[in-house]
Amino acid sequence: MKHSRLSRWRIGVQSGFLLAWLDPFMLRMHGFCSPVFHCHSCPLATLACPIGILANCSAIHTFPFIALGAIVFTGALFGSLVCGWACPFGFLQDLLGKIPTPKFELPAWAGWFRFVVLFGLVAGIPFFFGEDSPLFFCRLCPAGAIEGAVPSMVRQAVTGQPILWPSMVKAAILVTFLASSLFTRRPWCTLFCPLGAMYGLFNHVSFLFVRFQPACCTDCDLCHKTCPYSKRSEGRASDLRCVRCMECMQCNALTIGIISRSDGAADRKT
Amino acid sequence: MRRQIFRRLITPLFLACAGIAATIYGAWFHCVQVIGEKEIEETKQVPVQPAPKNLLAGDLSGSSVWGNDSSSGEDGSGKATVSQSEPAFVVEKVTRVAEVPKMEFEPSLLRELTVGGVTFQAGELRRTYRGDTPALCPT
Repeated sequence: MKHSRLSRWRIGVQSGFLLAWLDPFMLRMHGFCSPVFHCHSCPLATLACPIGILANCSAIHTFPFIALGAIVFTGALFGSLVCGWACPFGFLQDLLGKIPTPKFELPAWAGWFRFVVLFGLVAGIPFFFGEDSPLFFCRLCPAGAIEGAVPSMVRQAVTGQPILWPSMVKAAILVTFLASSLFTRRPWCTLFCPLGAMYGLFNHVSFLFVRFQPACCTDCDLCHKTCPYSKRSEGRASDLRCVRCMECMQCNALTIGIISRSDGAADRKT
Repeated sequence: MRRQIFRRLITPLFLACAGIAATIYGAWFHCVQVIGEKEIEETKQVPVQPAPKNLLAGDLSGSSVWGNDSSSGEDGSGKATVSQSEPAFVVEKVTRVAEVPKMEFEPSLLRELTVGGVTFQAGELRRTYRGDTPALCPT
């Protein structure tokens, strides 16, 4: 199966962004948020995690202007492109998904659970019960377990400090998602990611979008086979679960659109 | 066509500007009050119990409990006067904890949040530590 021109670059771009999030210049600018899901407890985190900041600001009843501003700005420009090309946790799932194991599809309605996580665990639980609640999002987050807890434990072991183990619940959730990544594509992104839920909303209105040209479509189902979420091409441009990985652009009927260039019937479909 | 242009140009442009404006406001203008605790050392003068009075009246001929005491004089009647020592003070250092409110801008507040340094109690933001900032997020 041939790769689209863009998707060939994806692993390289994801690797580059991973290095950027791992604070190569030791800046530790935790006063500002990154646009991706990267735990600020990681000893090498450049920026703060936007979901962690949203949850903590909800707990202290303070409006998070910086975090929301970063999310809105990034979403307006790129939509969920950051999910497919910049997010380190998504990158990890993509790498695990490359292992040749049988893959299963998740039902389409499962993506709505991300909004339950967003409004429940990120906003509601911290607001009403504080950060000490066992359901506080950061106490469950698998990205925090692998990006924050594991490197911290390594650093504590190397420096001879007492090791602080993550909670059993957090570790179990991490193992569950890592194992699931072997059998379905991007299970965290599909089912639980609150940040992906927000970026998916911007897919309707972002500058960058996926354009479907029905005149070029031959009903070959290539888009169905290559898409991690197996969505039909017609609904792709505004699909809430689309991570804009551009894998579907192996087909000539799907291209990248920027802002507006009228394309007649194609734009009517999107 | 107009709807397409509106959706594809005006809406994302408006949202992008809103995002920038929110980030700028949060970084430079938004601040909240955080109450911290600080140990303050003060010096105090603590009064010491005065020396017990000489209750023995009578012909002591100028003698007092402490021996010949020039401060206790005779009043001419042969009876000794009651000696009274002046109250004494001792200087002591006392440490007390004072609440210190401080206005924090959002970037520094976010840095504190990433290490669990701020909590919400009784309608106020309070620092969870005194002295050195915690190193790790508590979750």
